[in-house]
Amino acid sequence: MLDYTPKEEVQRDALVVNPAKICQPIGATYAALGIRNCMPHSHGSQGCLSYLRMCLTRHFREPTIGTTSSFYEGTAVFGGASNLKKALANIEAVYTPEVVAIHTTCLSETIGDDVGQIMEDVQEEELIDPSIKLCAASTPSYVGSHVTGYDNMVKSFVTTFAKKTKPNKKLNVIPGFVDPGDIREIRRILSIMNIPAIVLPDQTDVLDSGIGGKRGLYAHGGTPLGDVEDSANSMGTIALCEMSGGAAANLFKNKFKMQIQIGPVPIGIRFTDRFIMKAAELANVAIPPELEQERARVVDMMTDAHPHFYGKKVAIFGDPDIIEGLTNLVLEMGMEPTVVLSGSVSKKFEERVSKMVHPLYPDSQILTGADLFTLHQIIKNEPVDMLIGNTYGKHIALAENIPLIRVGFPIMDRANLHHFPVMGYAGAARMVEWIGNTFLDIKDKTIPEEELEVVQ
Amino acid sequence: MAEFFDDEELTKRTEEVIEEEMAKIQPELEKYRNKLQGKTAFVFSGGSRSHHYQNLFEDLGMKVIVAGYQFAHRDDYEGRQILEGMKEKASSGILEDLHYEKEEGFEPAISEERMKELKEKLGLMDYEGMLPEMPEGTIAVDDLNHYETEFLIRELKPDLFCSGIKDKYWAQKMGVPSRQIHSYDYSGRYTGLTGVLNFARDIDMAVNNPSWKLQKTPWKGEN
Repeated sequence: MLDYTPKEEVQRDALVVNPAKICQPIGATYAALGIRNCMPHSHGSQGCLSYLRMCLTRHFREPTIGTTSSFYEGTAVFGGASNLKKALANIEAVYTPEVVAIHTTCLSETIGDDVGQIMEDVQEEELIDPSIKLCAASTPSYVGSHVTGYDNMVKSFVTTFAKKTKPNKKLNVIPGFVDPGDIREIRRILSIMNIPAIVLPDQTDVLDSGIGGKRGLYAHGGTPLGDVEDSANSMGTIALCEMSGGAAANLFKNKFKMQIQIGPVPIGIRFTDRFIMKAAELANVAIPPELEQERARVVDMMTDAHPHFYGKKVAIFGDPDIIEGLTNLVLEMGMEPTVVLSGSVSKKFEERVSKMVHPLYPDSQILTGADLFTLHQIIKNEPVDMLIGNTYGKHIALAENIPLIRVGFPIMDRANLHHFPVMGYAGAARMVEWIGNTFLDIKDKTIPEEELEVVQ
Repeated sequence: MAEFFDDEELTKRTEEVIEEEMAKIQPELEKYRNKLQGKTAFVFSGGSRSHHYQNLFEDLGMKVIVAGYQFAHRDDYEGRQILEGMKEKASSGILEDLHYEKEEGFEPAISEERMKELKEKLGLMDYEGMLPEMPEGTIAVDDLNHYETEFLIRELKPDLFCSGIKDKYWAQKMGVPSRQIHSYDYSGRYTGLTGVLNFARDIDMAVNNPSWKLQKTPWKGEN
């Protein structure tokens, strides 16, 4: 039932089967949910926002909010300006946010709505209480992917709100389209280093909030608007992911003459080392021995479990920055990444990953702008022992009888994974334990009875 | 083994089998040899392994620089020729000497003349011990304690330490890859020609584990 993918290559030019990416608006919405008391607004048809909220809620199992300009047939002809104006008036009346983060959709972009202009009109005509701040990002789905949408929205936060006043001795961190579990890990590392940080945006306590107690429409987490404004006064900015956060980091550099670092994502030992050393350099602090000891423990774990990774082939798919980090990690663990595939297009990613992988494994395939049909075909022709990616890899994993290590977005068929990091030393430790013991579980289940070992 | 039977046809067939089997493992063995050439090993084992694994390591282009046993006797190191001159040890007082007598009417499968011939030809029932295989500059050890083990690892910095489970993680904490040579680290089999490949794989796994390159904390510089 699951296995309709042919092994033989099929010629296709204008057909994507099972894409490995989502649309820009979901990234923009995710970014907006990381700002405190912020209402993400989708300037398009209801279905757009409905899909985004469904997808986000399935992954996080948390309430997600959002408003829409609610386009109908007439809007497609006459434009969405009046819808947006009405929507903002309604939002003010009913939901009283501090910020409304507007993103566009395919339809509004195709109509040619100038959301920036509409926003200015709204403010000029005082159609909305001036204490409610507005920002907007252009996020057509036919350009880029969910990571681009995140990138554009965070850039809009900085463009619209960041204001130079006086130095705050803080470090800006733009996490990228990553889970709250990762953001918590980065915060934990910075707190060990005693570096005060502005995490922008911050989905902790929004999309991993606790149950019980009072919960308003807006969760108590998120980056406060004051911090977004103050981010112009920080000592430096680190964007963990190039494709989701890099644009805002460059803005900090160009507009506020700030020192910045874009990537590599702190996944795996070496990339985490680089993050920590860069953070220490920007904040001018010494790295506490605690982190050295933590690092040593994870390297010890990797060494002890290495026989379980040795010679194992792995296929990795997902967002460019994240899978670049995962590739770094599996190489450190001694596994062979035979295929690393991203739906989002990035030549720079292809070059960097090729530089990491090809000296060791010249036949590995590094692809961007590719789909899961291609991934499955590659796996059929070059079988792997493990697949790493989101829920959509499940069909491939089941058809090929290989384990799926669920990392990325969305994960809708397992609960609670977003609470745990893949970043930092804690993330590396988790992956080492998870991957190694997954292989041992399979070995125990498939080995002939007479060869079963009590000690492995 | 074939020569033992003195059968020309059997010997010829045996040579053919060896050639065929060697051809099968050679390319893979070469791959491992390229990755392991020139690496050094420290073998502290039992049951004559410290001696007999030396040629396996040589097949991989590696050199055993320290070898020894925990519970070996002098003949394990020096060969059977020293047995006659050996003095009784204190333990002789506790352990009763065992004497055997040939059963009446026992007919050996091989005549005495043939046995003599085989001994000369094949070295049958002889053992020269480990020492003749340990060239100048290598170290033979006996009954190591922890202090000595640590000292030798630190001084000689072998690329691989082969012993048992209790030593393994001491070596690794010192940054030296280690494989258990008693239990094969729950791997194996190492016998036969394909066993050579299993052995090569396990040694490669340990010595070339990329996590050894992560030992140093980059912000500490040299340490």
